[in-house]
Amino acid sequence: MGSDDSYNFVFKVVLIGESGVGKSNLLSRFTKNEFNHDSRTTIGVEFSTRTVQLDNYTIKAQIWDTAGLERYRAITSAYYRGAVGALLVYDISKHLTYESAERWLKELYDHADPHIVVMLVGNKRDLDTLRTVPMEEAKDFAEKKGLMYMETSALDSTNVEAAFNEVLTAIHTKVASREVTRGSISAVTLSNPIGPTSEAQEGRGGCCKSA
Amino acid sequence: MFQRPHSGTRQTCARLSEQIIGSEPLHMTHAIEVLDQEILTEENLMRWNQEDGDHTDMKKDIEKLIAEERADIILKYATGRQGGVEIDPWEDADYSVYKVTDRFGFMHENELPAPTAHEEKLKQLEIERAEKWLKMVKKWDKYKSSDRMVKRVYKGIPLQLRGRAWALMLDVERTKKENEGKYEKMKEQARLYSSEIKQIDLDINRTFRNHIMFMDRFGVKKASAQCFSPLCCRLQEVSYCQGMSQIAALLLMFMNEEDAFWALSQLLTNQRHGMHGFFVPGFPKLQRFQTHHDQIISKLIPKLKKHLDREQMSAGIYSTKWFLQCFIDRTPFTLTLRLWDVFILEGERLLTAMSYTVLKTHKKRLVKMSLEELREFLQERIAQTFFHSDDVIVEQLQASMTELRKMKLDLPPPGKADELPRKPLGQELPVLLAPVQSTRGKTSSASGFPRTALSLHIISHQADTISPDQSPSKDPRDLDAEEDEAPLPSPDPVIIHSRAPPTPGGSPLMGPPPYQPPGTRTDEGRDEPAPTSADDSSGAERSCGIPRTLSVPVVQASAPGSVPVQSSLSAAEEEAEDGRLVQLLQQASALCTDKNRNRDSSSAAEETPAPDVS
Repeated sequence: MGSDDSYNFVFKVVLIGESGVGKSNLLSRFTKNEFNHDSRTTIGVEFSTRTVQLDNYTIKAQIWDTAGLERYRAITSAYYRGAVGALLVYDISKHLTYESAERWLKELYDHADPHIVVMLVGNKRDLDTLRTVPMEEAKDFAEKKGLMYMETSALDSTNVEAAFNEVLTAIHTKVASREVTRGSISAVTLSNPIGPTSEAQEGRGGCCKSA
Repeated sequence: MFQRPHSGTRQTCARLSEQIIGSEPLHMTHAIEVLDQEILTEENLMRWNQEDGDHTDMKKDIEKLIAEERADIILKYATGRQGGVEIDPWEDADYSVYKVTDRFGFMHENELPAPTAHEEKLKQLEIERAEKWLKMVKKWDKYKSSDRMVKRVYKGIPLQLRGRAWALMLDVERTKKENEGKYEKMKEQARLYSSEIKQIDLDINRTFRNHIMFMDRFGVKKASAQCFSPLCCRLQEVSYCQGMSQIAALLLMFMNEEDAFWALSQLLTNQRHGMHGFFVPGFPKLQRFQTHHDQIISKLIPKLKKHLDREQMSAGIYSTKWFLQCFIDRTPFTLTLRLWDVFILEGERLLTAMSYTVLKTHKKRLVKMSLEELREFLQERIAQTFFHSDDVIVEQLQASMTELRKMKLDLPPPGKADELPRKPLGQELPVLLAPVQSTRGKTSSASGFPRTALSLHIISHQADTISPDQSPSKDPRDLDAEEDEAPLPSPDPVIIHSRAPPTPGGSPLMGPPPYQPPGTRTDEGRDEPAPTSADDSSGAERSCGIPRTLSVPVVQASAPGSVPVQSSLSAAEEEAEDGRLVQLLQQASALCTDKNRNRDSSSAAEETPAPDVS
């Protein structure tokens, strides 16, 4: 199942944002192409993986889904460590979930690598009639904060692939261009809640995992 | 849905968000006002936009939005489906796909297979057991500490008698009697100012949606919501935490609303279960149990433990739901019920033993799995099938219990005081009820005196909102906030619980504290005898000595350093106060010649309805 024979990189990406914005469904849409109305509340953290091809590289995206409720951050923030990408998700029909973006950002930068690639994601685009967060406003905010930005719908699949792929590409570009040193952005960190890996484990799959 | 102010206002909101960010229940301060619908008119929007720079004002608007959203939710549950509440299509479970309901009430997409001979046999067995159980529950005093009863619990309580048996084991009747009338009262109170309603509503609609009792939006399962909200009042330290809704839902499948409430209350607070510690901020009990779990597996199944470590699969990933929800969603439902039977009987030692049993039972498979496979197996696969019958697993569980007890590993070291509730039953939030002149001067004059001149101001504070910078004297924003507030028509605001200073600490306009990363939180100081139960916030917050509720300055003044003060009101006094509260609310509503809304006559809570702009 999930594990693939070989890959060049593992990118750890976290999904963060308020409770009920659709983080878990974005994850299941991307990794399993499933959407579940009956999605349970996420307790603590969960994760799922998918392997994608970028240029000539095989990238294993390990995506961590976190509980949105404030109280769970005591548990979840430990899992930001080693993350090289993040999707900060809000619900375009619930303005309050957008208003907290800044706080989530702070939370993220407090615990994750400063070079982490972040995309602001307005989810539930299918609820356009109930929209309370204008696209322009979110776009401006993202620009100001140096974030990527996209609107998605996990329900009808709009932009879900695109959002994840853009983030993964951006991470890949950063890593490939050595814009960041290996030590600082370990493009590879495998879900290490205990401590950041000090060294990139490029091609881990190539050497240890294959067959 | 409410009409919301548009982008101009919104941008200001965004700018303010760093200070405000009020969407998490824990960081909410409420100003709930009975205002007419005009608060969101164009005129107001213009006015708000003009005052773009006025942070305080904007903050208030966000507070108001939160308050309105909350009031809307309450109204929807009160009105119910039949009352014509608008329901987004996605909110309902898709009935058309569900064709059959199993005996537990779960709906399925496909016809269920005909029961096998084995299943028929089990059913027959259950009927026989039901007779025995019927005898036992009738003479509970005789059986309650008997070995026979214990043995029968391990065999599984028959479906029809599960609710009664659980209630008996949890002493629900006694608790209920000792607190007669309290439930209704607390329910009212929660409806009035529980800050958790929104989160609960959000979660309620994702709890057991495929169960017949919970499939209707605002339908039967509203019972579940109602069961919850009072708890938030009752146990402020827990308040509501995601994860609790599933426990409540499980109880509600077998018990009526009030019994389920007291059962949940027992589970949270009694010594045997003490689930309180699992849900309070910081999750002290979870950490304690996970650490202990790691020790057990290091000692007893070291090879597997090493493998898990190598794969970086930590207990934090796979066992959180095991401990917080006692295996709901993580084992097949029939097994979950069996585990809950034992859990209710034995308490927390079940959690330790079952966590070990899961890994031990499947260790041969597990040692060959990668991180992703481990996750899939422990979180999804064994929730579908456990590979062994429930009876076999329960036998294994019993064996584990014996094994752990022998090795003195059946329970982790005792928890600290921070895991236990400190407040007495029904501890109520301080409420400031003050007739407040509408802050929207223009609209009030336009719409006539009686309707708008009196607005009801309920201020409630959650513990977590208090932080050093919020000290009223230090924060210039608060001064602004006060100036901004229209003068009170009456110089003496009515203080219902006599613990809240009307100003300035009581200003609802303070933003929540700047976010503090959880990492900075420490458990230090939790055991210090604080004048109030400042229970959960960070060490920094505590060190400044600002107590949990805004009521505290008064409390401290009257009796420094003593916890019981807050609860020292006699029952009679409390009752009188509650009566007064209701009376006041009624008066307020009388003045508020609001449009004829369907009001539950018994419920003063309806006095904070949202403008039903859709």
